[in-house]
Amino acid sequence: MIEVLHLTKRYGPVLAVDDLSFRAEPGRVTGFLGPNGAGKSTTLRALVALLHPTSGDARILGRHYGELEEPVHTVGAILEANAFHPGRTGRNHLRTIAAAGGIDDARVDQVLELVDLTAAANRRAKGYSLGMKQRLSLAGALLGDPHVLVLDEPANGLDPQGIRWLRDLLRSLAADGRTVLVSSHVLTEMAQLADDVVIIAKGRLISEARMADVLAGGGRGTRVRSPEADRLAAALGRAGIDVTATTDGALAVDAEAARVGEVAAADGIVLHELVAQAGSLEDVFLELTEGASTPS
Amino acid sequence: MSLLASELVKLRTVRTPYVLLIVSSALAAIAAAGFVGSGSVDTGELDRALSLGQAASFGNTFTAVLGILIVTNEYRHGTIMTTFLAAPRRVRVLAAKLGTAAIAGLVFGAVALLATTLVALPWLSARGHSLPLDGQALEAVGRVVISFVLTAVIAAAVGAIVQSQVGALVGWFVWILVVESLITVLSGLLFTEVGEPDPISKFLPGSSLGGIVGGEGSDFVLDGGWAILLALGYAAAFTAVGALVITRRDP
Repeated sequence: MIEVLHLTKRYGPVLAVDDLSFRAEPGRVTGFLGPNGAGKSTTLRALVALLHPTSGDARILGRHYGELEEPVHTVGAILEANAFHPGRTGRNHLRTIAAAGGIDDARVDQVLELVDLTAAANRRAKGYSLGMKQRLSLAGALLGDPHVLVLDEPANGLDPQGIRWLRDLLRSLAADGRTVLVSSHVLTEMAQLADDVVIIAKGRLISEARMADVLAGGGRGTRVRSPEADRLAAALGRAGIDVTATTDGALAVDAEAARVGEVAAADGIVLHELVAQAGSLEDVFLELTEGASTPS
Repeated sequence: MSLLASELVKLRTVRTPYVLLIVSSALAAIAAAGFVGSGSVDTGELDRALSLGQAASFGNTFTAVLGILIVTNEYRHGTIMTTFLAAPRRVRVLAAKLGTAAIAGLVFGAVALLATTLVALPWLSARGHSLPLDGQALEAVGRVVISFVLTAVIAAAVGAIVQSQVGALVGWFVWILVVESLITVLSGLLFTEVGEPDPISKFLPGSSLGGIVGGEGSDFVLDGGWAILLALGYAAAFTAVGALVITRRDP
């Protein structure tokens, strides 16, 4: 369980995080979404006591990060994908964390195996690709078998197979009852990963919801196909509903499927296809953060 | 203890400390060769031990570099975040790093002494001289090691204060090589003019570290025991400031 309560962080005149509150529940993957510069990293760093908030609070399992007895065994975090000494091998990097957490080297080899870095374990980190560095960071986060994971953009630099692997791994960790909070600015990554989403822009909370609800909420459109498309378009137009012809001869209608069906039935128009369109997360996200963010 | 273990793993798993150790002891050996070769040791036996101690101290420069790197490397490469995640009470991290610096200083001092002795012994015995192995010689050895340890600890504390690697290294050497020298020369001139001993130079941080090894009767450094106390005071002061800065300033 992660709780962020009225968190505010000000850097001089810039309000990086502005009175932000949200929760991430155990047993679920919570996606932490927002455009670049929205304040995601600042929030996550405040959560693990890497920065002092201006005001407000962030708690993990009801406690401040700094009060945790065994932080390595409680929380696994990735804050920076490339935080390694370039001359140290991947395995030795993990050994530095293991020593601090009282973890033996057998566990180091275990997590190396888990992230598929065994073959590269004794190579210096400077020779690692971005994807390998991400996996090494993840191995470090998993070393202490923590109850809570806080991951800032863990999918950056991973190839499509890597992203699918990460998704499966995080889903299985959540299924074991862990709290998983994972940030991203790439929204399509989240659609199949997150159970809940927290969307922020310009340091403020835009939306905190179940992923299913967010996806459904953006899906007001209906795709309809009829042999009498022109009549249907006219009927819908009379009902005050926007209609656009698509390239494949169907109609994209800005109304719920039930309403389109009613209008067609009233005029006795035959329908061959009537599909409620689920909105893409991209659409929903752009809609929600519109006005709060500036395109970059 | 687990944090100290972690810091020692960090120290042993990169190349730089080994390179610095080699350079440090090589410099000490060269200085020893210079002392012996110059014939300045054709005096009493105690002076020989002291001279070799001062030769070993030439290696101390690189102990300072290592002390600074022990802290600033982590800020430079971003690993300080990983370190703070494992130990959110940052003062404990600083304590572990200072402890590691002290251990490294001990090793550097011992190896530098070994290097000077290995260079000097055959040379001296060929000329019929010997090195004493009495209490005074042991004291000279002890002082060298203490000066290495305190140098490493103070350097690590300075690293915690400055955090920028380049800033800390440049600042350290500009202070030791330029600022302290200038102060010593200027205040020396000034007080010679007035006809009094220089009351400032011997209390500077660099002089306190230099005084540990051997400055009996010098105008520019305190006598050994007092120099150790003064250097301990500097170590405590820099550690206190370092603890404050590392806790307040976020990485």
